[in-house]
Amino acid sequence: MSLLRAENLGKDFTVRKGLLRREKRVIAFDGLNFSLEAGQTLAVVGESGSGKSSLAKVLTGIDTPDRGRLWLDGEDLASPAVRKTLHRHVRMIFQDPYGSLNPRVRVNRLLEEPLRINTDLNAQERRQRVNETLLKVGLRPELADRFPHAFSGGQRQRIAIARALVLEPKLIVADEPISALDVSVQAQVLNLLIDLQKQLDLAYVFISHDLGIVKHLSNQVLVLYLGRLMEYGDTDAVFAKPFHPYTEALLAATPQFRHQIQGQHVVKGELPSLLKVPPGCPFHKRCPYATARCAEEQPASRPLKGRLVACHYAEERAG
Amino acid sequence: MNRFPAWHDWHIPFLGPVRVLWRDYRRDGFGVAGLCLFLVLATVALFAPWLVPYDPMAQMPHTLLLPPYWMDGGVATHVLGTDDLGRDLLSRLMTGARLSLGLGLVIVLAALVLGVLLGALAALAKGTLEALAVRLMDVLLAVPSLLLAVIVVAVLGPGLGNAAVAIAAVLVPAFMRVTRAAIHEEMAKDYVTAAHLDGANKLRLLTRSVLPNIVPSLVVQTTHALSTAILDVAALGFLGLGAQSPTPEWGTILSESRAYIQQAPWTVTLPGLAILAAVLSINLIGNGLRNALDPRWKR
Repeated sequence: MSLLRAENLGKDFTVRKGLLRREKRVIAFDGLNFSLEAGQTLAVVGESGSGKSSLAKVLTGIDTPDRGRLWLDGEDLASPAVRKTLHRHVRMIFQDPYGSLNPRVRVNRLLEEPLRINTDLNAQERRQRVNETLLKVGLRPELADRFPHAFSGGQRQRIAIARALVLEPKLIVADEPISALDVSVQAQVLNLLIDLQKQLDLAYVFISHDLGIVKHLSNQVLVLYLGRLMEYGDTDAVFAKPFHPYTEALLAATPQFRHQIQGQHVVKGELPSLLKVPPGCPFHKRCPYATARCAEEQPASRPLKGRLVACHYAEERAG
Repeated sequence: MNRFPAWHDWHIPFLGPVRVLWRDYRRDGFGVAGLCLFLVLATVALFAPWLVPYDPMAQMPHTLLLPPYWMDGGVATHVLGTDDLGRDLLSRLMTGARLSLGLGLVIVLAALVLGVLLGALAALAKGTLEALAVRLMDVLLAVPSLLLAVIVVAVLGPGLGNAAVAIAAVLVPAFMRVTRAAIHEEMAKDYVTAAHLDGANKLRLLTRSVLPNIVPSLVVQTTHALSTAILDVAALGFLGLGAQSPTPEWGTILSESRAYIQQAPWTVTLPGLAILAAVLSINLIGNGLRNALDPRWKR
């Protein structure tokens, strides 16, 4: 049984535009299918505006999905009782460690807060758990009576990781957890995440736009474009031979993987606004292989060689 | 594996938020000067009953309209001179400091508590209720505070207590607006989402996470309100709507002496200077605090 499973998951948000502030519903993401095993990592990749962060909000329970179903450990998250305890099992790490730590709260209280709310531990047990967690992320417990501003970006992200770990979750949703850090500490924090995963059998949903990191760390990869699933499968297989032209374009745009890609791979134009998603395949206006069919008919995502791919020509491309 | 890499310097200089504030505040000379002036005034106000040379109400028929010590005809026993009834002006001004600063503080605290409560409610309200609260605040803020206070006093009747209630009521909308805006701004930040994910309910979110972070905005607004309150108490006293004669309130003293502005200008100038000193010191402090708290002003 998978730890996390999503079936046709979709989320909308409303925007108000113009003088009359008329509401317009915009699809943040739609028709997402994926599953994640305990101790594994699912990477979610795509350009900004592709619905990655909206997905994180739904997975952590900040938002409720509008369509589809989501199971955690076999329990349907549509049930209010399950949703109520969701935040204990699924924790989140934010991108910006300067914004995600309350500047007016000392680090030890910051880490104690989830325990205070969610457990029956007494003060001493809570302190002990906080100290253990700080050691796990490589911080000295003696420093914990300081305010977040006394720490560097990398240290702050360690604190944020400790906050996620302190409730001993099964799943951590990490929304670009290292992209706001100095390059010199990115690797340290990344290695910490990998070590913790091995030690604690954690599952990660790792949101990123850095394909090098995704390749290094994830078991599976979910490629999103304008909130639609483009390709989903084992990371190694997808990176070795992308079936979807968009995945191919993403890889071609990363120097590390460029040499693997043959043929025409230059993406034309800009990412369209979510308010004006093109009809047919959402990617057809930028796709070098687009045909008349792509402009008219939206390809359904379908299983192909152990992956899900949403392209009319996926079978031909898979060869 | 080495758990503590070399970059983990554990002699980082560490200051709590209050000490950081003081460090930044100290840089502003005007702010420090304002603080010193305010401390002097506050000390005088606090200990006035023991410091005054004379009973502020005592009339001395042999020393009417005596000029201050440094002017021709002044005597050392009445350093700031006397008024038309022979009352010692220094004693009256010192006692008046109690009213102006003390009452001002009480008024502002009342307005602060009420304004923050209502502002928090307005921030949490959605839809029509929110729109209604915001429009109401806009309307109240559009009317000059003194005019509004005069209207409230006209309804309640003149007197120091009613004036205080009126001024407090007039200051509430400004606190509401600041609170609402600050809460809105903070609510959008990641650390609030993180607290929400910790399982905190709305009340806990507001009191534990958001309120401590809007304190800077409130501190600045409080100094602003305090100078307004002091000025308005004096203005209402001057108009005969606040403190009544013979209460030694700065505005009232000013208005009593108005008739003698030609013969004895010090009876008008000195209470005016007292009001100026109080308002100036608080404005300087407010300015200094704003600079120290606002990251954009930091080095």
